[in-house]
Amino acid sequence: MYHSKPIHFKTAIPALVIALALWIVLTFFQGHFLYKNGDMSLFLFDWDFFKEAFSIPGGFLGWVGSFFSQFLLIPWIGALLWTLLLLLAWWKTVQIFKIPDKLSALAALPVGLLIIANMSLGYSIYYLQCHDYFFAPVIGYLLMIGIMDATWRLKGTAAKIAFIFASAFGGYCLAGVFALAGVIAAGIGTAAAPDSKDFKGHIWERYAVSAAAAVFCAAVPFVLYRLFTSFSIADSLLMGLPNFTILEWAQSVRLPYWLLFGLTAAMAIARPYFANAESDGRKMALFNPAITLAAIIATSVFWFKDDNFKAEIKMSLAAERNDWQKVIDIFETATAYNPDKEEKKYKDMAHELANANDEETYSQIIRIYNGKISRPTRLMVILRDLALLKQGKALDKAFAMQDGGKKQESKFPIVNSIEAGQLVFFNYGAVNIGYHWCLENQVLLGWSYSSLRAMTSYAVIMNESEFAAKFLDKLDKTLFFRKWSREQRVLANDVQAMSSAQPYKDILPYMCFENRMAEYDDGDCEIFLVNHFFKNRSNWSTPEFDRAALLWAMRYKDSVMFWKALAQYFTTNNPEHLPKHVQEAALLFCSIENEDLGITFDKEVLDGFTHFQEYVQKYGVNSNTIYRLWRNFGDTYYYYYFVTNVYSFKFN
Amino acid sequence: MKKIALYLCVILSVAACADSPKGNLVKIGESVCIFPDYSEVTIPRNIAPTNFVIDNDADAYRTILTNGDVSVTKSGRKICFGSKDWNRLTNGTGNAISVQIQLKKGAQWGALEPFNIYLSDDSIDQYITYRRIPVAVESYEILDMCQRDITNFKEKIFFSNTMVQDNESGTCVNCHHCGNYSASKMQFHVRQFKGGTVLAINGELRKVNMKTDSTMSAGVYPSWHPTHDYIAYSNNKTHQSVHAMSHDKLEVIDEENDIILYNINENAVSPIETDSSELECFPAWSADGRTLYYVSAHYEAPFGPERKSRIFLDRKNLHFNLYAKPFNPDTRTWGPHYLVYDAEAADSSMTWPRLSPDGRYMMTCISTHGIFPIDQIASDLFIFDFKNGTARKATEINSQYAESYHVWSSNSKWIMWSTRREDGVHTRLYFSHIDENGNFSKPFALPQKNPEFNRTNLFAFNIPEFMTEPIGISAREFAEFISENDAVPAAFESKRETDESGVLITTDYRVDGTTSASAIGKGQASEEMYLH
Repeated sequence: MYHSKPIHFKTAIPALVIALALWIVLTFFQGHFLYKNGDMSLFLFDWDFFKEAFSIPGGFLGWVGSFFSQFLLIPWIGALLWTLLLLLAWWKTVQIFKIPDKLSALAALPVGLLIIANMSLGYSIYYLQCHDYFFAPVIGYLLMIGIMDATWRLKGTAAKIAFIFASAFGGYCLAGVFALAGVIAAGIGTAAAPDSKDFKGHIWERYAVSAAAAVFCAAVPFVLYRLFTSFSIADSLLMGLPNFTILEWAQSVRLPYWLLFGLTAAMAIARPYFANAESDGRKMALFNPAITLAAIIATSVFWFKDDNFKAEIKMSLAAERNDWQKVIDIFETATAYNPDKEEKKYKDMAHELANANDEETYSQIIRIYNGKISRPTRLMVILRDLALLKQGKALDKAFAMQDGGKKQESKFPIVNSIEAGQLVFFNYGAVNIGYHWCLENQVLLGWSYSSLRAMTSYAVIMNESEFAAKFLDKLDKTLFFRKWSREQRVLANDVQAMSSAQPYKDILPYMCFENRMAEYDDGDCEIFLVNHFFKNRSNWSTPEFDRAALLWAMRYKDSVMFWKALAQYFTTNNPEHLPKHVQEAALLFCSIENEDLGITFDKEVLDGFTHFQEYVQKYGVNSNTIYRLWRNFGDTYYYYYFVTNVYSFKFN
Repeated sequence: MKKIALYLCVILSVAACADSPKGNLVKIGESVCIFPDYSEVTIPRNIAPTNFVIDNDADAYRTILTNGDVSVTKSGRKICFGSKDWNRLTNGTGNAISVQIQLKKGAQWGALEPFNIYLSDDSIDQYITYRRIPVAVESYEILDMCQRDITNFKEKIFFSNTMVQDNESGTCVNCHHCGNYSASKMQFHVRQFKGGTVLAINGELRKVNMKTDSTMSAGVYPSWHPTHDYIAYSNNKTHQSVHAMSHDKLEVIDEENDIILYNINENAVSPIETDSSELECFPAWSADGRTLYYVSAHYEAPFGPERKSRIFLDRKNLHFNLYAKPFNPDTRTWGPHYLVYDAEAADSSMTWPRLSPDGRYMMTCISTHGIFPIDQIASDLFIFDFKNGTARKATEINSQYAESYHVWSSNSKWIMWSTRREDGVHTRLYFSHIDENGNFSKPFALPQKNPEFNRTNLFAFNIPEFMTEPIGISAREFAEFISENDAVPAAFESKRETDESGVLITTDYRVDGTTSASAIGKGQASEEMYLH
């Protein structure tokens, strides 16, 4: 008779403690990441949505995964569910493989791989094509070891082969390769059980079961490939695994799963030997702590850690909630620095640059220090500028805060339109461009709560109520966005109400431009926006549009654009007092062009600029002086103009 | 067990009585609101059940459908028919199904004004094909080519790009088309990865690369010759761009267009119209195959990298006129083209000519400018009646949104087209009947098993085609053929054309784009003249 191995409470204590720690870390330090994952997923309480799950092998696993993923929108609940499922995976691993207490940490290895698979994602979530990513793998793993358990429990060769057949075909349809991996491991485990009490068949019977597992697993993709039209034969062994739009990325992200399958098969082989290890207690005393520590270290090493990634997500989420002050606060927290440490980095850089013998070394040093010196990514700057514009502070503060273009900690470059194009373009009133990016993303990655909401907003602000209804009908079938959907439905059918409701109220003033065909912008929001504010001008304008146009002229460091935008700014904003950065820019361009346009400047601005000129004349701008220059003049437009080099593109 | 059944019967009877109107019904003043709107439409008797959902607010619903002595009663908001009920209704003695919707509001039952679903004895082709495509500009992860049996709800994917492409190498599929409504003469294009034009002729598959040194691109928009083994194609250099601020989201423009003829038996292409100052597109054969209709816009701009941006700026000045070009299919000889409809004079643009198989009608799209009607809200359907000599906008079937991709049924009694009338963005398939006087009936949506399908589905359905038979080749057979075979290059044939004085000229095109023409002589040409 097959017995599951009982687990002693003492054995479970470390697992419970680690699970609790994991839940705390996830909830309090990774809530933004969990929410983002949840927001990029979709589960509809809808029969068609359920049926759709069966259009692809592994689709049902995805459907279950999506069901759980929606709870990531409340991070502590999502974290709790995931942690409990991981704990269950550990517990069932110990039970099914009959891992003795002294070796119970072995069961932490598959769990560690499952954690790494999720928490190492980082920027790759923007290319992730699955709604179910967070939960499907752990559920797939449970199904996998469940198949093994059931196979081993069954008595008789025929029953085992019949079950393996059903698991291979049915399991593949429902859970993709997780089921096949379970069948293979069950077959391997059956063959490698010389002294198993569970199955007293002759050796040929054991090999018959294994051979059946191998044959069915080999046959299933080729047979079912003919029933489905949703995948190519080359992809048949990837069904149920996460997919990405970038192949190399997919390969590296799938690595934990291949290791998981290999490890499970290895444990299936080792299962009969675990019983002997039980009695050899003293030799194994350090085994559990050592393995647990190794698993924690490995998980920690592969856990994606990047403050800018975190800040980008948090800022985007705050912007979606129209909480612009929070966007600025997150930016300031993320770019806060210790002046002493920062100075040391600059000095080290200057020292290394002084010793650089060739241009290649010089560039490499710059690259290294670009990663070390605290700098925001362009997306962070874009979102911060947007927040400042919404608050009417951009022309006073945009250049006083940190700037730069730190490269994302990503294996592959990610254009900021993919990350946040739908949000940025929408808030600048370029609604069709946001719509375009949202649609492209949904074709590549599938519909999500986020894209359904974005599409609704585009339709609502364009007064396309029938189009909005399409997405609202979907959102009505979600658990967490029904209320939002009801509110938006009212706005979709009432232009007056829409124009006085947020976020539309603040966006409509930006929609005062001529229609134009969008030019190819390489996915860079800034290229589009610079072009947008200078090519799409209509006969009428709003103060908001002209403030943004002036900011983008200054950002692009183009005096012709600046003077045009300033003239327009005077017309619509009629300012009594020019904002600080506008004065600095006007002073700078007057100085460069040797013009006196009769603009009255504040004394502080005049003094600051004079001081800057003297400083530069005296010390120059080089690696030795850059830190001091930044400390003294880093909050001015002319520092940005002369020192900050963020644009490599040319204005068309 | 028997007791349970008895109780159930009693409960159901009581429930049914409780929700049934008693006595005279009050007339409810509000108008009938059903989706899809099947009120007062004309449908063929062999169409699938026109399931619909009632959008009028009520606490309970009861719908009575009658045709002669046949009556079917349905309860609930969603009215879905089983095939038995539907067959009884459509084969009833009358020419219309009368539909009365009764609503219960509070304790009071009332009735809406009844409406009719008219039944036409003109049958409709059993199958349609279409491309199911996500609404997007650049991405095409999932493109399915489907065949639907429209006498029921069975849909079959006959090819999907997901069966061929991999992560990094995308495959686009488009422009499926068949000759004479037959599954034994069909073609579609596979672009990029494993690309080529796939022809399935009498069960034999062929993948062809129609791009030659003398043509600007592979074949694009096809028109299968009705009597001979030719397919006319346009050549297109297509670009698309997003409108920054417009209800039209997208603009699709061809930088260059030509028209070519593919000779199936010779696997060779020859030019038809290749004037570099004209953008010729959308070839369409007349019913007898002796005239090729097409559209063309005059456009002059230097060729080079700037041409693309220039043409986008000039997009509103691109007005396509309708032309015809005589053809002798036996000798593959063309006559000089002539103008059929001067759309430019009306400051509009005519595209997508499609002729009815009986030769009486031609339907086109008409819009303000440009070549891609599906992305223009202003695009309407336009009908030429050659019998009556009239040309007019088909106002009775146009909507406030884009109409495009129309096609005639094989008996010329029905048209099907893609329309965005429901939400302005997602194209849906609609039908209309044309009577002896050339008038269209009220359009109706392709019936769906779930009547709310069009509301909830986020794909678009375009390039519909009627077919009279099921496609015998499976999706896997197509996929394996496409994956395992390279496209066979098409040869290039010279163009044979008579000028206005009847002199036959053959024209060869060289790789560098220049041409050499040689006149054969009027006497020689006259024997090969087309009949016009």
